[in-house]
This record gives sequence, C-alpha cells and structure tokens, in this order.
Amino acid sequence: MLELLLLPPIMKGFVALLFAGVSFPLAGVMVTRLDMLPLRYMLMHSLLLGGAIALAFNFPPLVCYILLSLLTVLVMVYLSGGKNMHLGLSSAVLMVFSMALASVIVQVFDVPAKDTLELIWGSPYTITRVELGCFALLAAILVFYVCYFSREISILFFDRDVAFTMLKSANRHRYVMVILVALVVALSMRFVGALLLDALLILPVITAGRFARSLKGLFFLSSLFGFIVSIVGYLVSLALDLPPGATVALSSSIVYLVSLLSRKK
Amino acid sequence: MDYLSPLQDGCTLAVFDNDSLVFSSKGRWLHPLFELEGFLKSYKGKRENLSLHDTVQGRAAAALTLYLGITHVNVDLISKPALELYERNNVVDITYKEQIERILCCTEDLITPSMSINDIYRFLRKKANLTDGLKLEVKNLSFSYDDKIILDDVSFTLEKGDAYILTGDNGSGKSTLLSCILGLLKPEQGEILFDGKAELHDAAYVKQLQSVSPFPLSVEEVVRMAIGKGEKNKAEHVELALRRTGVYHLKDRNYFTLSGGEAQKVNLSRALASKARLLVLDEPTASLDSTSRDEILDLLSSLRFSEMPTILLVSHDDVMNTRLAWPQLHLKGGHLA
Repeated sequence: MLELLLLPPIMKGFVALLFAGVSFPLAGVMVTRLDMLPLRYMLMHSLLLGGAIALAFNFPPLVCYILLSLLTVLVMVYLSGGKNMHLGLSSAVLMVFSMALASVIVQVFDVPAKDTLELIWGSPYTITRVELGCFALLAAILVFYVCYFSREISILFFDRDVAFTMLKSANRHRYVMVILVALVVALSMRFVGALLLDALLILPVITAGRFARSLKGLFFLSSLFGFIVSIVGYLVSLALDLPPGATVALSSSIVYLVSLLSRKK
Repeated sequence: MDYLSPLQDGCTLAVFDNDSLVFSSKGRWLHPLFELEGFLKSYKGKRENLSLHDTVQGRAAAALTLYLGITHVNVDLISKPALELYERNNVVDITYKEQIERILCCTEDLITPSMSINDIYRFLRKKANLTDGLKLEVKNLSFSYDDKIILDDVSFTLEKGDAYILTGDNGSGKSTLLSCILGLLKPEQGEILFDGKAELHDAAYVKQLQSVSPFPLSVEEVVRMAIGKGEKNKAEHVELALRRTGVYHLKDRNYFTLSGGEAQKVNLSRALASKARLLVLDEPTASLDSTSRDEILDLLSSLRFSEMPTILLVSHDDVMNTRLAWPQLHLKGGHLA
C-alpha cells in the first residue's frame, strides 16, 4: 500500500484529503449552527451544473465549481433580501433551476454518462497541483478565520439578535461564513462528489456534537473526526480498491454510528 | 492622633481604624466620600472599628456617611439638616464643633426628607457623574408594519443611571420599541440617541428565554464573548462576572442545558462582563420559578447601587414591578401613556 501511496496522483489526493479532513468540518460547524443546510443542499445541486458546464466545454472543473458556487451565493443572498437571510425559499428556486439547466447541458452537449458519475462520486486521483494549492489555501483560511475570529463566531452562534447588538460586523461575518461554506462545498465536490459531501462537512460535526460541551471543543473534535475518517477512508480505498469518496463517506458514517453507542455529554 | 484631633496638611477627610489613620483625602465636595467608598471595597478591617473626621457635612455628606456604614463621626462644621438625618438614623455616634442652619450647596435643598438613604446615594452618584450609564433619548419615534401603526411619535429620555420599567399589553409595541432601540428595526421616523450619538454602543441585551436548538457553547464562552478583543485578564473578568451572579460553578457547563434561572444569571453575567452602560432586558424573569425570579431581582437591584448602568426593563410581571419599584413607562396603542 505504501508503494501505491508514493504514486504522485495518489499522494496528491491523500494530502488534499488531509487538508480537507481537518478544515472542512470547521465550515460544517457554521452550516449546522447558522441553519445553512438549505444553502449547502442548493450548492450541491448548482455545482452539478458547474460540473456539467466543465464537462461540456472542457473547462477546469474546480474553476467552474468555485465560480458557480460564488455566483449562486450572490444570487441567493440577493433573493433572500440581505439581513434576514431566509435561505430556504431562495435555495429551492435555485436548486430546481440549476438541476434543470445541468440536465439540458448534459443532453445537448452529449456529455458521457461515465463522466457525469464523477460529479456524483468525486475523483481525488485527478487532482492537479494547482487544485492541491487551492485546498491548502482554503484550509489555512478556515483555520485562521476560526481561530482569529472565535469571539465573533461565538457571538453569532449564540443568538442572532444579541449578535446584532454586540457586533457591528455581524452581517459581514455571516456573509464571510456563507462564502467559506460555498468554497468548501465547491472543493469537496472534487473529492467526495455531490452525494457524499456531507461525509466531510456535516457528519464529523454531528459526531463531535455528541461529545463537545464548548464551541472550542466542537471545532477541535470536528476537525479531529474529519482527519480520522479522511485517513481511514483513503487507506481503506487503496487497500480494497474501492472509490475513495465512498470509503471516506462510509468511514464517516461508521464513526457516527459508533458514537451513538456512547452516552451523549 | 485620632478622629477627634484636628485635620492636618490640608486634609478634608480622614478615616481611622481605632487610632490608626487608614484613609485621607484632600478632595472637595462629596468626592472624598466617594473615594472612601472605593477604598472600603478592598478594605479588610472591620467596618464598625472605623471612625471618620470630616470638615464640612451637609445632608448629602451625612447620607453618604450613613450609606457607608461608618458609626463614629466627627465633623468640624455640620448643617442642621445633616444633624437631623443622623439623629433620625440613630446608629451613629456623632460629634461636631459647630452647627449652622444650612450649607451653601444645591444638594442641601435637592435632597428631601422623604428620600431614603439608598435614594439619596443614587441621586448623588448621578450628580457626581459617577454612574456607568449612558443617556438614552428616544425622540418622536414612529414605526408601522404594513399599514398598522405600532409606535406613534414616542418620545422619552433616560438619564445616565436611570432604571425604568416598560409596561404594556401584548401588541402595545414594547418589543418593537426595544428592537428599534437595539438597531434590529429601523424606525420610519424619529431618532434614538445614545449619549447624543445615533449609533448604538456599550449596550447589553438580555432576551426573554426561548427554546433554542441545543448546541455546544459553554457558559464561560457565553460570558467571554462579551469581553472586547483588546482586554487583558479575560479569565479574571469572566470569573468575577460569574461569581457576581453566583453561577461560577457552572462555567464548564453547556449554556443550552441550563435551567431558565441559571441561563438568565449567565446572561446577566455576560452583561456585567461587557461593562454595558445601557442594559436592555426583555422579560428576563418570564417562565422562571419564584426563587429564580427573586435572585434575578436581587441582582438587578444591586446593579442600581453599584455600576449603575442605564436600565430599560420590559416586564409584565406585577410582582417584579412592585418589588423593584422603578419608575414606569406605559405603552398603550403605540403611545406612551
């Protein structure tokens, strides 16, 4: 297995997955607390449109994912009317629209069915150096943001009204978090694909939530669980010759199920 | 040298523990007594052993001396109203050199015989500009949802250190008024000024307890979030604030698993830690049992005599309103009644 790991595509995938495993659950904490589940669900669907565009026009997939996710977030924030950020309705509209458009593009441009499956399952072995750099950069930004703005984050997570009285930059931080989540979803698509995105984004957070009693603890444990399931999932995929997205997602699910056996703190 | 000996070196006030000088001041007006109050906060000796020598005392100084609990007093020049006040509270062993009809100070007339010692103390703190509160001015405030008028030309002013209860039936506009003050809603008309500025600052908001989805956030984190980034000794501030409300033992607990009373005490700790100059409380005792309510009431009462922030409290609770006995603003049909 070590020989396999030393192969450049596999090593790049492994390193990128470690970055993602440690940092993406940090964004997952934001998703769960700020009720951004509709947002992430909608982003997953709109990124299928991004993937379809990339395949149809032979564009770099990550660039398409990032641009589409940022564009979608901007449209969503506009539709949801700024401060109140009722994401549910606007996300439903955008989700339907992007799926329909993706379907049309796949049909019109004769995108091979096998390639479209990659959108759903992800493909870490095809990650480029530039994409790896993007993973490292986003991971660093996430860790920095969570550490440096821990006070602002805890205020926003505590109560929305209290946050607006305590924090002049409350709205700005909400937008920053939405953008970070959008970028994380975009990059996650390269690994685990649309269907298994929650394996890195949400499941480590839910598992950590069973043990953590503080926000600091939640961030730390989410990262730890993300790191563990990434390593275990990737190594299992190499050992058993299975798709890494699926094995990472399976590891994440198993860790969560095991955590159910323990008493919630 | 003791408290009956003449004051020396320009001293205007001296305090002795038995015969040892423990505090002296050369200040004017009531400032030496306020300085003494600060000194006594950290003084470890017994209060009943203290004796005080003051140069001049009118009614205000006498009331402050009584408030500080000093029982042996020697005054060079005392006014008749001050002497009457001491005699009415006959716990003080008072001696003086000379008695005059009244001293030439506005407080001599502004303090009326009907005021309690606590009332006088609060009044004097405000006069001496020693409150932590800010001035809140609401001017001609109007707000409506769709076509329904919620607030119609509401105006009032809370001076620094004032504490008011805002009452009114459901739908009378209390919550809308609070939301406007806190900047959560933009008024259609009128303005709200905080120490003369339009931007909300130095405020703490304690909400009515609501059911919220559980989330890991420790009590310590809830209080710590109120302390600014640049502040030093954060752990010390958090500990002080939690001890003040008697919930330090809960510091590692998840805030969202606390009982209603515990959570509101933590919220008050958060307000204390933020050193808020304006405290806005929306039904803080709603859905609390009577013990928890009493504890919250005691805390609010003590705040009025310590930090003295400006407080606006929304309350439906008649028992609470009666016990606090703060002045009330009553909203009815969008107007202040």
